[in-house]
Amino acid sequence: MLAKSHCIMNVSTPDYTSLFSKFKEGDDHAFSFFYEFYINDLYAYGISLGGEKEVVKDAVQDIFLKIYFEKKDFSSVDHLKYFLLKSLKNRLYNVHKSKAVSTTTGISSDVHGFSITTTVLDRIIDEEDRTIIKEQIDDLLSKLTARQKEAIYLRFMQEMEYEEIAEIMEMTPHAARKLISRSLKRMRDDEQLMLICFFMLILP
Amino acid sequence: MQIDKYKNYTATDFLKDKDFIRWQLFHGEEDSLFWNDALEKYPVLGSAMEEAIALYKDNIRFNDFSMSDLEISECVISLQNQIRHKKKRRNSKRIVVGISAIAASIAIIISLPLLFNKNNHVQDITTFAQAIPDNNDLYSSDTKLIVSENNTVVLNNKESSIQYEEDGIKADDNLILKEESAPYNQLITPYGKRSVITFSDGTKAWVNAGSRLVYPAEFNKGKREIYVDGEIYIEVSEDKKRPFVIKTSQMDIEVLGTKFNVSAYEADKTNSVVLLSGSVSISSNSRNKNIILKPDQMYSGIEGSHTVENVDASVYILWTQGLYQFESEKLANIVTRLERYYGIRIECDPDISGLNCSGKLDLKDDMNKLMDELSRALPMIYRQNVDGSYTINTKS
Repeated sequence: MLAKSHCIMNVSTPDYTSLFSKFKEGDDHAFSFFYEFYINDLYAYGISLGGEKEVVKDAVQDIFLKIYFEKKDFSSVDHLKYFLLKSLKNRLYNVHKSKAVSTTTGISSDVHGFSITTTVLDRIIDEEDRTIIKEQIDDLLSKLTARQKEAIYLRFMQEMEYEEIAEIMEMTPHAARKLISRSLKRMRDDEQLMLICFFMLILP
Repeated sequence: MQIDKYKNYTATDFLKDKDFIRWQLFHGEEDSLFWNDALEKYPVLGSAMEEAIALYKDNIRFNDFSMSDLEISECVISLQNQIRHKKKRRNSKRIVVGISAIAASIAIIISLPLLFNKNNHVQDITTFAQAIPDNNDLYSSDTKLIVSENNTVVLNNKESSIQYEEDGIKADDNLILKEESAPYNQLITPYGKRSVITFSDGTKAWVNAGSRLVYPAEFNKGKREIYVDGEIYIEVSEDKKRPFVIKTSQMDIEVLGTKFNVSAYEADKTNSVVLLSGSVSISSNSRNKNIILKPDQMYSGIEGSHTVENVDASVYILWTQGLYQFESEKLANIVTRLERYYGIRIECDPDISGLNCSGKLDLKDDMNKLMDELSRALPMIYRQNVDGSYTINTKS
């Protein structure tokens, strides 16, 4: 299989626009096109949000079933995309909530937040080096909260605009920008703080 | 961050440096300034840094989760089933509502026969198969399964396996929905490849190199028909109510449930049917009477005339196991078979091509080994040409 492209859910060429208008008319072919187009990105997003494989798969199915029968009116491809991402997040959140309540322990577990899993591919880099690189990256990212991780992921790993991130995370673009710059600062500051501590330790 | 610490850094060192990683990840302004300074101070670091950036881009992935093609296909199928199921339930509800909308349903009733006519009008299989324009698919390097006009599955295994199941079509690692299929499917197995296909009724066919099969994704109630240009060994599952008919350019073979080999390459002058068990009836345009074949009999048709002889049928299906056994066969015919099986062109000196040969070849060997073996047994020498083809000459 080809390496997956890393721009999540980008549909913009004219071809897709005509497919999209067919989709809105209820055309089955266009429906399955968009389904197959988005399914993997939704899956990846669901897993990133902490969903379990089968739960995420079911949630994606439910969302598309709903769209198929309720014929929601989407104003644009982007509108559809945000709707899908947001619905998936809500659904996973609800599934999680209902599970947490039903456990006999009575202690509700923390809602899984967004996480970022790093993979260093097995190419020219030595295994030992790969492990170190992964550790370093994970260590950097571990300083962030789940929400910061999600924003960072959408901004830098999926190369989304602030407006898009704001839409998905249900906040204003201004707030999204602030969230991201704060995350960056946090990663830098922590590093410098460590350095200061380090010097304080070695200098009597 | 101390610039000096970097002066002897290699690409891998950079990759492991947290400050460098952060710069690559988030392209922060402050980080960019710092690294530009570093580069200005130690220009020699440029190439290591560039290498590190490239390595970083190529090798680091985040949340790289994806489903396998098979998993996706399974999701597609399950969604379609759910939709169908829900539609059925909705439709049964609608009947009640429909009574108050009689005017509308009249229009629907009138248009129904037209719709059905359109769907029922499926071309005859032979007409369809022979109308397909000749192309170079048989010389392609991949086996192709053409499910519909705009859905061709490319299979690059040496031996592909295709199965028609209730919900979908499995072709090696692919899963295709039956809904996506046109009335007729086509399986093109090019020279040098083989495939095994299981049809919707459980009938299984081994398809030899250089063969084209045309068949419906789902056999209809009255009969089972497939079209063959090439060679297959087929085990037909028994169904007395639905005879199985194999159509070729020269003859039709009708069976009820049996095992036999059909060789009917349109490019060949001769075609043959060898029966292993059961019974088959062969009809051809050039004859009024059908010929009934018994097990271990071989029918050969050559330009209008035909012969039936007793043979050891098992020999003729050895190719399904990658073996080729021949008994006083002309070298020219052996060469044609090898050309097909390997998908490699072999030119044979006419002086030697009429030689009768007997023996057994293991088609799992590579071509050079095979040629060596032939050279040992026959008065011939061979050479491999630059384009990969072979030339056989008489040994002087």
